[in-house]
Amino acid sequence: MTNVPIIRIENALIVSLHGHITDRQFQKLQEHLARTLGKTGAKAIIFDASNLPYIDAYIADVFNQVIRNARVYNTPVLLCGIQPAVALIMAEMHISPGNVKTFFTLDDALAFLKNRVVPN
Amino acid sequence: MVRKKTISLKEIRQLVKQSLNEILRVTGRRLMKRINFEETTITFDVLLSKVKEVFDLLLSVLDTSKEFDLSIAEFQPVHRQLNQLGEFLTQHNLNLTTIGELNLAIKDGIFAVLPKKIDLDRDNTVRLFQIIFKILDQLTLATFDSFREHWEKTILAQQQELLEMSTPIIEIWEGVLAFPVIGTLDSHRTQIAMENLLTKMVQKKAKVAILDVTGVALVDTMVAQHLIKTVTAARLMGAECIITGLRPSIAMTMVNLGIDLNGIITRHTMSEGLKESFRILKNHSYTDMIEKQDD
Repeated sequence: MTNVPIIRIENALIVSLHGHITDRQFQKLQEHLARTLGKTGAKAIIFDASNLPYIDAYIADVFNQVIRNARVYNTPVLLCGIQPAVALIMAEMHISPGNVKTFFTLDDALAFLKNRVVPN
Repeated sequence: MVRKKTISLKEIRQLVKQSLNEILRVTGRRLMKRINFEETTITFDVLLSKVKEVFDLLLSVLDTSKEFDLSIAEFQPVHRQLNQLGEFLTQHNLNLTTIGELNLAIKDGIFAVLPKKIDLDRDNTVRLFQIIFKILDQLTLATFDSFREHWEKTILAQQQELLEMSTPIIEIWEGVLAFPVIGTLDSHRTQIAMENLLTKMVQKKAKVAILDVTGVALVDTMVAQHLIKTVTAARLMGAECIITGLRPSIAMTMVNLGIDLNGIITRHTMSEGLKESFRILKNHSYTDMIEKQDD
């Protein structure tokens, strides 16, 4: 079973979520993220959901944890690429973005980081 | 002299044909009395010409000297004509009562005129009216059917039109979509409309959508849930939704229903919603969200 890849672009770590993440993979991902954060000193984590055309209860829960755990990473978490149909189902499951910043596309998220984080 | 011989269909036909003008006069008088022509787009003359058509049909049915049944191929032309009659009545804003009135008026005319024309014994009189009225009633029933069919078609077409017209999505500013909701919101309609809105937002890269509910007369729990769901979904996707135009009575209802509008941006009018959306657009790329996250 392969790990969910974590890609680093400039100051951000990008995690592309796909439809069949297992419990174990997700757990590993979280550990992996924490380690990579420490190693690279990244300023933000971006979860990209554009590869998710549909959503099931498990993935919804993954999202929920991503949103809730945002603070655990001690780094800003950005969410991008959620499809309309997926967003509606998530809303139906009472998952709200809380104070996680969301974006239409990965480009938007990266542009936001550029404007926001780099000047500091 | 009272005749004893059974009256034939041919004789009935002859009789009706001969006294057609007299019958029409009586029928016309009754129609004049019973139908309020001011409420319709039809004139008395046109309606009377339709009555004449019905008589033509009656005569043609009597001509075939067969048991009258619309499902038989031989009566297809009659069926077609009745269909047209039904459509005609629908178009002229007439109702089912009018068809009933037409039937009664024609019967009135026949009742008043025919017995005077021919001397018949009791059995033959019964037979005469039975035959004519049976055909007339069947014609009426078929007209009812076609009327209802056309009526339903009209309503369906209007519904479809309304569905398309009532959920327009307008880009009123770069990155701002306006979504005026008009009419009653039912689950099915809302589901489609909301999905359309969200898809359009992604397409147009609109950061803000203004959901204007000025045109919504009633909000119940389901509708409120849908609204909130859309707002949440939009925020998950990285956009904001502003709800505008909530009437005082609707606001009261929502509070009474215990619907939590916490975290949802509401504004009184569309213009204020637009103002708010400019503020959001301005802050969108330089927002201090990230600092807020670290709180």
